[in-house]
Amino acid sequence: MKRLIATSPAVLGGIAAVTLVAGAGAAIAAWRVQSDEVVLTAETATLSPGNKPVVSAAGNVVTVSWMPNTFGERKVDSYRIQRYDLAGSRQQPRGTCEENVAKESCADSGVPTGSWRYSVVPVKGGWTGPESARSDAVIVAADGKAVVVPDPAVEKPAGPAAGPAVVAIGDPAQPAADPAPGSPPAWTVQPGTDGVLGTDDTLTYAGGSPVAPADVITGWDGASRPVIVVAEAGAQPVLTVDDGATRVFGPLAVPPATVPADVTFDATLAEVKGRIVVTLGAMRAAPAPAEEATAPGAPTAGTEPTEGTDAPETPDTTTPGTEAPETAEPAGTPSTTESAGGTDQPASGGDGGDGGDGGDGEESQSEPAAATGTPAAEVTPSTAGSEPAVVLVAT
Amino acid sequence: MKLTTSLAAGAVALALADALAASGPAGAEIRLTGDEAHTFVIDGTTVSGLHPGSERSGKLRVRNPYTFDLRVTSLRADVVDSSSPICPPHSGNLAAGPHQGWLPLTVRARQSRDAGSIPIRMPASVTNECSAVTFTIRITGVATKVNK
Repeated sequence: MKRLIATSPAVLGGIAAVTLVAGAGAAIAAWRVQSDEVVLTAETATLSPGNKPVVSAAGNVVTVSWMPNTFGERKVDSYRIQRYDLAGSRQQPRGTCEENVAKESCADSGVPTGSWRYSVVPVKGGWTGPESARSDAVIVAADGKAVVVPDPAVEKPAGPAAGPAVVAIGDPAQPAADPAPGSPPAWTVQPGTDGVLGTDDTLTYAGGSPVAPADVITGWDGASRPVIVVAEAGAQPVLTVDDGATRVFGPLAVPPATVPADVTFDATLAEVKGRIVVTLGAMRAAPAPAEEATAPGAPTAGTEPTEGTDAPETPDTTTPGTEAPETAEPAGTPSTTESAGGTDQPASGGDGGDGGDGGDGEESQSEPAAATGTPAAEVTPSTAGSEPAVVLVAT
Repeated sequence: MKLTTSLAAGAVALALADALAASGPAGAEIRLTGDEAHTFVIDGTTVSGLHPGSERSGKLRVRNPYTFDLRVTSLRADVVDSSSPICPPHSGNLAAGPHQGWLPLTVRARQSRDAGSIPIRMPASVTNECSAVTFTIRITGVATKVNK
């Protein structure tokens, strides 16, 4: 039977036909051409850091605003706002800053008494970008007033009692009552009869208990030592007290009238009976660069560079009034300017990393009461031509 | 004996059929059978700037190195690798969609032409670990010879 099948011409023909068809099919299949294996790359983006926010305050409502973060032409979805105390502890903001914010501003309401800084974290889908640098400090006082204290222009490592803080005018004629026992140290300034900081004027840091010099500068015994006081004018003028290596104090927000122009003083720092006193010395020649820095109010007539050696303007600020009447701010009114004008330059546009917001870190206990309006210092006026002002110590 | 003869005849027929098919149309220079690998080339553009919820298109172009026309019948993309071990190449992190464009697509001999694109999507839920990562996407295609 098998033989029959194998040898039958019909069967052989069939086999040949099937083979032909199958062979052709195999050949057709072989015409399929596969591509070379090609790989493409797809690169994912990174979120840029949030932009340093600008803060302003009215009472205990702090408005935080910032420039948007974008991916090319698109904005991120939202921002997470973070509030920090000066020790660096993060707090949950309230109001419209509580949840992620889709706009570029929000209002943190019911902000507790204290000093605060804000940061912004951009959010895009499941991504969060790097946190922005922290804002200038906002000091909310117990009396419901708030002050934005701009960071100093030159950043230096901050000492243990640096601040920021608000400085109140101290009345030299009627030294304020002693601070309540145990109350934290606060600042006062005595700008002299002209109301403008100048040579021999003083700043005093005092509290309900003596201030230990070592709490101000590590290892300091309180002996008089040279420092530099930099006064930066602006909607909210600030002072910094700097011993060369560190920012001993500052930024200290002073009443606007006291600093009409940027100026730098040589000064001395000393501990006097439990109080820390900064006595302004000679005013340094204004640095060349910024023309505006020579400021309003300082009648520096010919600013011609050609004449060059015109005396370094020691404007009227150093003419400690011969007249008796003081510019008498009501003692202890810390003239809490809101940052309306202090809206500074918008946006620092992406100032990279959070520059460590200074040394707010260490000390948190000194500033909150600074703005409470109870000046803790009493300083005599700097009279014309006299030696450094005298600090009256009330007992 | 007769069985042997018939098998031999079958083998001859098979060989003949293969030879006929492989020779292709007149002028074809390449035999597309056997173990040799014959391929065509796909070029693609790198995409960048992917972020959560975004979609980019990887443009494709096909080159035909042969002396005969090719008909591209399929193109596909697969996310196969990632530069970061904490952001593995799976669809929760990056997905390559189906080819967008017209298929089949004829590419003339020794010519190239655009071949649509591959959509590449990053889900909105992707996590920070997939920031600043480079994914590798493998593109493959299949074509057949166009018989004139």
